[in-house]
Amino acid sequence: MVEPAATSPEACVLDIQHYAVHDGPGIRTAVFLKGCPLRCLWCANPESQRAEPELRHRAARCTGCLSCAAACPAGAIDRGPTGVARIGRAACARCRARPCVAHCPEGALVLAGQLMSAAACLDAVGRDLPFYRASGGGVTVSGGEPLLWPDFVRALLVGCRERAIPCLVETAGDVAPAAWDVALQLAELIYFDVKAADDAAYQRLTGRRPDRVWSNLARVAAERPEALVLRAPIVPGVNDDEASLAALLELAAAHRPVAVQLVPYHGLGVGKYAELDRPYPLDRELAPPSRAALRAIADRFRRAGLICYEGPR
Amino acid sequence: MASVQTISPLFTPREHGGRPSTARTARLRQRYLEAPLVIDAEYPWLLMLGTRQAQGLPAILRRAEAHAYAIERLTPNVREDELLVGSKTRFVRGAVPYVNYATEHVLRELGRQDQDSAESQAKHIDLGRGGGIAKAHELAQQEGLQVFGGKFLIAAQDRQRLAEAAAFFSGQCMQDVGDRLWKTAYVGADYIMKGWKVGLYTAPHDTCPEGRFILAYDLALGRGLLDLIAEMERRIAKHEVTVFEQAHQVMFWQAGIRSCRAALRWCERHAAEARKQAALVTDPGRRCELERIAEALEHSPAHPPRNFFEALQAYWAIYLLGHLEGAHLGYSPGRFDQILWPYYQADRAAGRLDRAEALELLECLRVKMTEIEYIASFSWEGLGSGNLFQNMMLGGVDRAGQPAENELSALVLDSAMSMQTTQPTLSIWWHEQADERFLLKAVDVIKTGCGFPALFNQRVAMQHFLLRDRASLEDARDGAMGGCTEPQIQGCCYGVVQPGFINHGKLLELALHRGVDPVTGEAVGPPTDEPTGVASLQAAYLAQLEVAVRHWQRYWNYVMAAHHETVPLVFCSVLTHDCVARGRSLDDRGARYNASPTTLSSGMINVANSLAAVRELVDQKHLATLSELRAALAADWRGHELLRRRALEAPKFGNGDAGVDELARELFDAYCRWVPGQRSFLGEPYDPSMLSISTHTPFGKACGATPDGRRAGEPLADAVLSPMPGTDRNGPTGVILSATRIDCTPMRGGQLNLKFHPSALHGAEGSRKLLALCKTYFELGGPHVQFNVVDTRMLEHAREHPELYRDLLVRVAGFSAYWVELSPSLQDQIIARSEHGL
Repeated sequence: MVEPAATSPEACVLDIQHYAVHDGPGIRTAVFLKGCPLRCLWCANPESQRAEPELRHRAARCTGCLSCAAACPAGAIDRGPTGVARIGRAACARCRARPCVAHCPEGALVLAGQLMSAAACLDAVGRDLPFYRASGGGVTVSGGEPLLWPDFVRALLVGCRERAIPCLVETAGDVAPAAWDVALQLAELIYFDVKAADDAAYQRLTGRRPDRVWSNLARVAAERPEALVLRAPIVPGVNDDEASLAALLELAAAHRPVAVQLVPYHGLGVGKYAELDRPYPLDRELAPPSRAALRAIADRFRRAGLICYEGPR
Repeated sequence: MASVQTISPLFTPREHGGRPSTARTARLRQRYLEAPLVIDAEYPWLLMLGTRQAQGLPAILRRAEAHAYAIERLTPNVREDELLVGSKTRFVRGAVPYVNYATEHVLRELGRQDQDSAESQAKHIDLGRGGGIAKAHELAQQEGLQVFGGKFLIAAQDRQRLAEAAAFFSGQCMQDVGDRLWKTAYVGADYIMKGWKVGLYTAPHDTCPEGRFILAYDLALGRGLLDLIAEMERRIAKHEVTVFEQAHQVMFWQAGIRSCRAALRWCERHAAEARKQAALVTDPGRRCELERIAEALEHSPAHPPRNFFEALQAYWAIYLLGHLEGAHLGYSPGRFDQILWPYYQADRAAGRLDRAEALELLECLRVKMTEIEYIASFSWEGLGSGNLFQNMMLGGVDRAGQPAENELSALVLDSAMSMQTTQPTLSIWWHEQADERFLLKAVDVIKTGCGFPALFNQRVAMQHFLLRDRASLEDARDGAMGGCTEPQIQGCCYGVVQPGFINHGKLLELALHRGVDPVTGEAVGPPTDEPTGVASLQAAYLAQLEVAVRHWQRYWNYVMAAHHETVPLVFCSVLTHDCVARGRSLDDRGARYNASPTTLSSGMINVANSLAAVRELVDQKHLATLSELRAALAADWRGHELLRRRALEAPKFGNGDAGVDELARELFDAYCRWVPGQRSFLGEPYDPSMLSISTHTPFGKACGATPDGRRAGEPLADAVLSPMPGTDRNGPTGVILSATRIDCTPMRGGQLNLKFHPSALHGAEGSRKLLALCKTYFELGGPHVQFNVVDTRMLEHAREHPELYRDLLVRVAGFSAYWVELSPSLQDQIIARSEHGL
């Protein structure tokens, strides 16, 4: 049984997305947990990177009334050069209550992430049970890196198992072995994101050495081969060169995943960096890879005897 | 759309598109798209002459004679390229003003110099401007042509004839006879008039009261008109009158015979025209086609058709002749794939018909149905956006309960995909054994973005028929749509009038202000207690609702009494089961089932959301008293922005939130309890129904700010079960969980609109997921769902560049329309609907 809500483990939940149709088989509910050890240059969800709640400022909605500044106990907000509110991020980070959000009449301030118990999360995802049944869908636990919250994920997955809801964990694998056990033991499928197959490139593109990534990947390939789906971001000009692709192909061939899924870069997250007052890590927004380019890459995997999808499905 | 794609790569293209399957149907479609909307005065003019001739006859015979006189003389239209012939007017896009129903709006238009002055509710209405409407305005610059009703073209001779006919019928049309009755005799007359003034009700709809039923094609095609005439003659011969009702039966049969003979004469005249043209054409192929048309109409519908082509031409002739008889809205083609299947199957089996040939014919039929326009009062134009609500039903189980999807059902979907015309709108019965391949094809059509087919739950509709119509099981299985979303058993029912709506948003305002309308200051409803919290507000709202429903029903009973005396349908009665056997017209309870007159309303979701907001803000969090909230509403939230933010954050219907969903359920249940509390003019309980067509826009304009956070004048929530745009934050599954908490079985209809971004439905996988979503919705008891599949950025582009989007179809609410012909406010509303799936 899941622990009662009072003792149910908590996680910082970024979003619970219903009718998520690009995150695994059938109709799914995707639970996005906040916090990620990686800092991928192309990350489309920068608000998922830090493990604590943070403020998004949707400047287009802001009228500059500064009701938020009046409510802010940390004195973190003043008027910026364009007339709208400006958030002093360092001071803001010290406040947990964030009364500014409720005082904004325009809904321009949004708190990204809130602490939620696994029990409450289970209630939210359990609601869609009839849709999972009809479609062969279930729950996708994603992030950030969801396995940074192993107790929460374990409780959620156990609760889902009790309700016969299939669960999929989407991870980059850069987690401790104990956390990895949670996925190995309880997930029906593991969507394993490989940001780069070459150690040097991995570190350059994500800021982290991939040692744990490879050992966890090896474990899943050995212990749960039927559960492994490899996902590979394709970022034009960044990781789609011949050497990178060849390394990726070699990696996939060695681990024999059920399928390889290419995840084409898109620039839909660019605006979110501004909402967080952070610079976009790439020099500029890139053009997504063309269909033909994706097809060509996918065909290489297919020729190697792997099932390959050209986009999320 | 290729050109648009090259201009703007900003949005996701629709996955499927289509083009006419032959050069001929491409030309027919193009001719339609380039045609202006035109008023044709031929029918009303002939009807006037016929009515003069028929003076002194009893009502039913006078009606039959006048109509017969007219249709025997209408110009027979056989247009170039056509494979199916017969049109309601002489124009590609023509409308008939039915001055025998109402003349006021026609006389007003005829007398109008300044196009901008308008009737009382006109401030709440705006019309489309593009497409065929723009064409009418452009051509009106020419000599002898003028604009009529804001969007039609009218020629000088038609204008003069229409004026003469309108003057003739003024005082004796249904509306005038009805007005004299209820305005002098009904104690609630003052309430009705005030209700119109404040926007509690939609404006008088005497201009288009008919429709929302389906003729019995098993009679028309299965037996043929001559056999029906023979039956009526036999009945007269065998009948000796004792009580006067029996004399009325004789008169009905006499009227029926007159109508059927005139219908046959109409067919003969079209056959003759086709023969005449055949003699003149040089192209032997075309001569052959014209001769085939003539031969078909010479044989059928007088006799049962002998092949698919004859059946289709006869079906169209009967459909059109029924259409011509009355001022219809929602007069519908029924279960087309079942009606025509025996003919199709036989021809296919005998090798007389190939699929491509059948597809071309179905494409022709789509053009024919889209060609029909109507003219109603200006207010009604705004509500219906000019759509006739012809709704063709496909699939479902047959009368024996067996799955009935067939090759013809699929071919109809193909023709819709290839032609991309607005009418007929398509609907599909969802049932447990439905063929998945057929459903996947339906999803492909949905993915073109045209907005149909809509999916209906056959189980819920059948339960309604069994409950309200007390229908036999076989009849209950033989349902279709009568109009946009009202289920109706085909061939044996009275129509689904009354067409007017009650505005729930306005009722909420009356409840907040002790029966006084805060916008106009008019004291309309009963002086209910001043509410102080959610319980007293709900009680006051329900008290206002009860009174509004009661008056609306009673008022309509008077109008329909006038209908009975002035414009009873005769031809349509003959082709409705049991009228001939009973010797009674539809107006005299001749139909087998008479429980379909409905009471309509829209905007209930805003009431539920408002009650939820009051509960949270006033009762639970004490952020304001109800009178402070009233002050904020009066100021349209100005100076109360933070309170508005809290109101917007309060629970909203459409997120699977049990609290607000339960409030909505209570409101719907109360409505469904009260509406049948009074009987209709046919003696059966009124049937509760809701839908929105486009009422949510004018109704919203009539309302001030509401406690759910909505600002004054903003549209109300559309459809019946749809959330207020922008308030559903838990995806389509949340919308469905809320929608299915409401039991729609006691209602005739129930409507849910969902909008998807094309990417959410991409590929076969996307299709299957959508079907799984629908399956769950229907298993949970949902009555209806329809989809707009469109990238909002594309609609925004279309708003800026209408010239690139002449043939862009979108779903409005129960019907689809060409984007460019929608009013700007409706365009905004469609853009605002939440889009699921990016």
